[in-house]
Amino acid sequence: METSREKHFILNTMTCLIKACEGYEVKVDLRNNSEVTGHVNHVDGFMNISMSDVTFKTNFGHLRKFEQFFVKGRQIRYVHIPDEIDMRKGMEGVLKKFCMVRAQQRITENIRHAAWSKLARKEDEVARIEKLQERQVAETLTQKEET
Amino acid sequence: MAAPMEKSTSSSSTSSSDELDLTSPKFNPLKSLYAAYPKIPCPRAKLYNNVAQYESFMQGKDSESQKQKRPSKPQHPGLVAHKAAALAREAVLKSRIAEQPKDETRRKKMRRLNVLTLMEKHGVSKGPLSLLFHCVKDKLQILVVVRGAVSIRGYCKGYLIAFDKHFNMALLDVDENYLKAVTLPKKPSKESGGFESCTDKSSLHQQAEGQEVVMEELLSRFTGTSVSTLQNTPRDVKGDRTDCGRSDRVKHSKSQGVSPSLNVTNSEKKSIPKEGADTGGNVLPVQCLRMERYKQLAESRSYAKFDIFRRHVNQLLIRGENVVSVSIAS
Repeated sequence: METSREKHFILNTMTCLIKACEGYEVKVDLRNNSEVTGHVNHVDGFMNISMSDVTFKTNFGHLRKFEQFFVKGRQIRYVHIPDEIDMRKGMEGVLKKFCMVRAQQRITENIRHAAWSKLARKEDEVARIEKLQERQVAETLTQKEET
Repeated sequence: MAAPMEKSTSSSSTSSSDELDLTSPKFNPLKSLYAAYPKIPCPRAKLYNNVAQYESFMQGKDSESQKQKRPSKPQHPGLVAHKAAALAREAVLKSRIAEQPKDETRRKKMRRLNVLTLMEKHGVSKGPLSLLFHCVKDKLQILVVVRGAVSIRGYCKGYLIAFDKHFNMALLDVDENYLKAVTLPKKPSKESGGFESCTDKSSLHQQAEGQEVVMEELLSRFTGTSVSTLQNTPRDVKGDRTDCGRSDRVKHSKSQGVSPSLNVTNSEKKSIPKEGADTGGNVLPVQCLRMERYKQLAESRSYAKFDIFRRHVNQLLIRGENVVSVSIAS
């Protein structure tokens, strides 16, 4: 689950475009001229990418394979977006999805509020009944004393 | 103050009741102000200290009326204190039901803020990013100069699709020309093998002058085509400027004599005509020279050999950190 800051970054920066590449085969160029090619598993708000089935190509063309790979967002120079993705539509899709998530959160919040208020009302009633009972007991006691 | 009051009261004793009445046409405000018992039409009306306060009340800007409109948002209560909070929350829910249309507009506003809408926002405002939005809207080809670790890596030419405040840019149909080290850097003291291209007088001169000077020179050239200057100048002027810059550059390279790296390797010789064939015109050789220049700089700096590479990428996202400058290509 993302923090609110990450959500803000995803909604307000180009991170959403990389977010749209989740599940695709993507090539990432790093700042030290090496290249990482692999399947994108997850992208977070700071553009960090976790990948699987990765071939890592160094500056001088040596190849190495990794099962899991994590790229820190700051080390990225380019991300080659796969041709299947229409960039504009992909971004819009991610943004829409996140708006939906927000709406869902709002709904759950409302439900939680309602639950709280219901609980409070119940406790109120219990307290009132207890008070009434106490009063009744006191009245009966005073009546007995009078008699 | 006392004297005129007495005079006025004594002089007009007959019609005093008429003049003191607010609703009558003969109403005399001065008199009513100084009268001992002025007639007030509705004595229960709320009192205000001045006219401004009354005005703000009529417009609904009063602090009390605003309090009524916006009840304070309840916080998450602890188990003990939640009763009062729950009551407040109920009040909030009721008020929300009452003000539903207003609340919806607010939510829409919240929803509207994202990358794409921010882009349009930048387009409206005056600033360097408004030029980028202009490029997105009119589908102009832009040229992005990209940095390496210590030098300029090359440039990308493409059509801008989206951007944000960090200058992260999504480009379409990108042609990238870039430098890449072919050999490992060597130490200069032992051997001058990887150093051959620097033996020319001009490059030695550069080394003597120091790297900072070279960098400044490079920067000053780039400012001619960078975003900030482009934005202020209309198109024709801008074209003239860039042309001047280019011709300058050509002269410069001529004055240096044959640029050293032009004749060094075969791969470069191949790459240069290829570029020329692709885009043609006056612009291209200049860009070739520019790349050669970068190459010289990089080689003078690191004692490794660099080659110029070209590649085409359909869709590319450039992270804003690596962007040096942006200009309109055509």
